[in-house]
Formats: sequence, C-alpha cells, structure tokens
Amino acid sequence: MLNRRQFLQQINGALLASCLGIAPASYAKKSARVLIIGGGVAGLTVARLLKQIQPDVQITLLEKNKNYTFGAMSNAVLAGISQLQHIQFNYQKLTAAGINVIFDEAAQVDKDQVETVSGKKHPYDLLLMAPGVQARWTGMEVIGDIPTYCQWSSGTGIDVLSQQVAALKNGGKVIITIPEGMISGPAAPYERACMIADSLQKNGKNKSKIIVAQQPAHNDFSQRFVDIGSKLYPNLLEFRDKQKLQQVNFKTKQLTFAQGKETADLLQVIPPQQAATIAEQSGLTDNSGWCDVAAHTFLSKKNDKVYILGDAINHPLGLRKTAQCARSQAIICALAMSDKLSGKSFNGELPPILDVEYSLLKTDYAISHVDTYPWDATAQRFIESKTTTTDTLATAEAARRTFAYAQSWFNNLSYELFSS
Amino acid sequence: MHKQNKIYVYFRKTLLIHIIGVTLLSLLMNTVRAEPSKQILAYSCAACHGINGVSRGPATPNIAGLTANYIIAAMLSYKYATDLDRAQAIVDKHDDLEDVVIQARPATMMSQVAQGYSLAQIKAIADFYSRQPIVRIVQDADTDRAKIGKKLHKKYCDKCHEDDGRSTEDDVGLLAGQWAAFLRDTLQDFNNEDREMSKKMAKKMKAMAKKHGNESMEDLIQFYISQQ
Repeated sequence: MLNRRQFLQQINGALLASCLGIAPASYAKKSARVLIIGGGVAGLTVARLLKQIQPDVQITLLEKNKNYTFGAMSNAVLAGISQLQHIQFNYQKLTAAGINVIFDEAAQVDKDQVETVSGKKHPYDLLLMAPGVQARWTGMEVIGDIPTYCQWSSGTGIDVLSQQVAALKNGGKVIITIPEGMISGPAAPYERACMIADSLQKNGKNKSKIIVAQQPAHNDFSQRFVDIGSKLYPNLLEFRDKQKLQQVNFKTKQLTFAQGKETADLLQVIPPQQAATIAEQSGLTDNSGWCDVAAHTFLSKKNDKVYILGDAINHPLGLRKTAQCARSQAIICALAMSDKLSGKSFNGELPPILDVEYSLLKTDYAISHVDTYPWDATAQRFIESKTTTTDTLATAEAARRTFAYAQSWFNNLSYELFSS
Repeated sequence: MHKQNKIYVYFRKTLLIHIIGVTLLSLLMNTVRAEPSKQILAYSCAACHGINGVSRGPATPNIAGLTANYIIAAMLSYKYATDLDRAQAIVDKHDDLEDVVIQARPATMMSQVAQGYSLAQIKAIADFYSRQPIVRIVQDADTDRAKIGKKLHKKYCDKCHEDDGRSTEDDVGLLAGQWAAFLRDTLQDFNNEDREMSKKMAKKMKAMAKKHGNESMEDLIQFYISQQ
C-alpha cells in the first residue's frame, strides 16, 4: 500500500510529467500506443526518433518481411560495386531499442485497431502508415509470370536480376521501360540501366544493348541521364522517350509499344504505381491511387488519427519518392505525432525537408539530385525548392566525390536505422 | 476513524491544489511547441554525417566536436556560395558571429542542402555538434609515412592545428582521426586554391610543397589517420 505522501507524489509526478510533455496529457493513465505499418526508411525513422523524444510511448512496428532489402544501393549489386549482404538487414536491433517488432501483415485498419492477416488485433492511439507502393498493372496487357524485380518494391528481386544480368550473352538485349506518373526512386531506372551497362562492359560484352524506353517525354531530369549515360556507355545505351507500352509478354520476352514490337533477352518493366494495398483498402487513397496528407504534419486528409508518409503519399509540395526524402519527412512527422500525443499545438520552426537522390552511374562516378524545402516560420509553410547550381569542381571530380558521398550516406543511414 | 477522515479531507484538499496548480502551469506551458530541439534539428544532418556527427565514412566527415564558429562558417559559406559578400554581411551584422570566418568552399551538394536552414537553425545545429565529443576513426595507416607526416605536421601545421591535429580549438578543422578520403579531398582543394585559406596557411602549404613535394600531403594524411 502507498501512504498518502507517496500517492500524492505519484499523482503530482504524473501530472507534472504530462504538463512538461514527457507523458502525454490525453493518455496520462497509461502510456500511449503508436502503431507503425511498414518497416522501411520512413517507418523506422519515426519509430526511432519518437522513441527518443518520448521514451514512454509504446511503439509497435508491423512488418511483413523478416529482412529488409534496400532499394537504394541495390543497383550497385548488379555491377558488383555492392553485394546483396550489404543492402540486406534484419530488425533485431529495433527490438533492443525498445520497439516492439511484429512480423505480420496489416489486413484491416479500424478506427482504433489494426487487424492482421493472422487475425491478431493491435490497438492504437495513433497510427502511422508507411507501406510504400504497389505495382498497378493497368493500362496494359500482361502475359506470363511477373518477375519479382518488375514489382519495383525496394530491393526485392535484385538477386534474381543480378543472376540474369550475369547470364546475358555478348550481344544480348535488355529493355527497361519507364511509365508515366510518380514512381518510387525516380532516378533508379536510369541508374539501373547504367549499372547493367557497367556489368556488361566489365565483362567484355560490348556488343550488347540496353534500351531505356520511357513513356514521358524527356525533361531536364531525364535528359541529364541521357547525356551522361550516352557519354559513359556510347554503344551500350540507347534512350527513347514517348514510348507507350501496350502489352508485356514475359513468356516470349516481347514488348508491344504504340510504335511497334521489341523482343529482348531481359525485360525490366517498371510498372505504374500507387500507394500500397493496405492504404487503398483503408480508404486513405484518392482517385489517383495516392494518399493526400497535410503538408507539415503528414496527417491523412481522410482520417485524423492516421499519419502517412514516404512513397505512399501525394504531398502538396510534389515530394519525390526517395529514401532520403522519406527520412526527412519522418523527422517532421515524428514531431507532429509527438505534439499530438502531448496535446500541444504547433506554431514555430521546423527543420527543412531534404530530398537527396544519389545515382551511381559507374565505379567512381555518381550524380545527385537535391531538392531543399526550407521552413518559412512566418508563413508557417514549407517553401518550394529552388535549384541552385553551385558546383565549383570539375564534373569528373564532383562525380568521383559524389560516388563516395553516396556510399557514406548509405552507410550512415543504414547503420542508424538497422544497426544502432 | 476520525483520524482517517482528517487525512482524507487533507488529502482531497491537497490533491485539489495540486491539480489546479498543475493545470494552470500546463495551460501556460503545454499548448505550444515553438521550435524543435537542437537535437532534432541536428538529426537531419545525421543521415550523411552519422549519429551525433560521427560518420561511418568513407567520405562524409565527422562533424562531432567541431567548434560552433567553424560549423557556422562552413554552412554560411555553402549557403551563400554564389554571393559570399552576403554571408560576410550577415556575419558583420551579428556581434556573436564576429569570429566566424567566411571563406570560399567547393561543394558537391552542400550548397543546395544549406539553402534549407535559417541562421537561427544553423546556430542551433552548430551548438549541438560543438558539444559532441570528438571520436577518432580507426583506419589503417602507413606507419613509415605517418612518421614523416608527424615531423611535417610539427614544422608546418602544429601552430594552428594544435596537439598533433587532435584539437579543434581556435575554430580549426578536425585532422587526427578524420576520414582519410575527406582529408585528401580537402587538402587537394586547398592545394588547387579551390578552397580559400588564410595567408598564413597558404604560405606554410606552399613552403611544405616546395621543400617536400606534393606527395608530402599524403604523409600528413597518414599521420592524421594513424592517431586514435
């Protein structure tokens, strides 16, 4: 039994704690439960950061796979610049960091709980969804089994693709198709083309051909890859735009474009994409197939207990679907969730959103695309990214350093998420 | 029984006072969060520079334990890379920035990144990383070259980069235990005059290169990475 003083001390402590934002006011009786769907970069960053800001919050992570394969740096595996074991991680350290990791798949999202495929129910006070994308094989006819690497889900299937690239004969033909609309890793198709070219070149298969056929017309972003790719691999790479894909036959490895048919030895079809199935089933997507969120909280426009970030969203700023952008969003989202748990409103400063996408194009040669969205504290909104070219280094020297920075970014990010 | 009642009444009264007090306090303190903590702001740097500024390499430098002036100078020089006079004007306007030295710095993407931060945020980040302990990276070094490098350091560098390049005092960069690739790139930038330096340093570097050749830079690097 507690005596009177002890009891008062405890009450006082709890109230004071809630007042200081240590324990949430609205969840003072017991610690708040945050449920996170999706153990990728976005989900893990929020899990780790929220645990640091509010150690008392119970964080449960629902992830369907026991291992995570990064999409970032996965193309480097194709050229032997990286290895599969360097981009694959497990979730053991998350458990050690006090995050409850459950390997299960969310099946249904209700207003205060999530039911999984295995029938378990997980109650939540706040829900974070970072489920990524799913392929949307519509608008074209698909024949045969779709290879895992054509589902375009982070680094899944990179091992299979790697074997197929290695098995290509000299004179072999690869076709990479890029759809209209937002995709996860907007630079990744071009990086993949260059990494396959690097592998072919290293192995003396110089009579081979890689065709990058994209549906959208070339813009500044894709033109940069065309210019550099054509310079680095003059005979191996060919770029085409305005290629409307109508039929994919994985059995005969034949593609039918509006312009005509093409047969290849290896098909890397990148499908049109939308937010992952669970987001769609939970009614969080709009007609475009993406989730609408508030610009600086990442709170769903359709459910005020659900935060969504990363590849699944259509952000008002047009944020791109990259790992670094997801991490940057996650910092801001973790702050918003922490405020909500503490019953605080927000009116002040936020860190910027930083989207950095590195593309490895050859050993010791990489480029980066950087978008920076500073916070305007007066207007309480993020400002559009302005691209300023300030490279003072010669192109080749900048590319050599960028290659090393890309690896450094990957080493630091993957360590922070999975190994610390 | 009577005594217990008294305790109960006292208990209720006290509890009420506690609740009222804490509620008032919470109304004052609990409703608005004005800014993220320095730790949160600094978190955005960690994706490349590592947890608490200790990089896992191979090329992004450790920033833990650099002085606040050094970090502010670097960030402002990056942010206003195309107009360093503007960076200088900002420094001149603020008394607390009087020791911040604006100098041209070559960048791959840091200029674009630095656009994202206000002066107040840069100061907060600088304060955070300046308080982190220096961690020296264990790297394989050529011990023979490191011995030569040590002598070169004593002769040409130690006056400003004190304690064998281990100290960041007086707003100098971290040398001992810094990532080799970063040291190599940086020395190359100084040598090519892509990166601005003080007249004193330029003189010393020129003297060293003249007497010991350009490869002496690598001797220095081997000395710096040989230290734990």
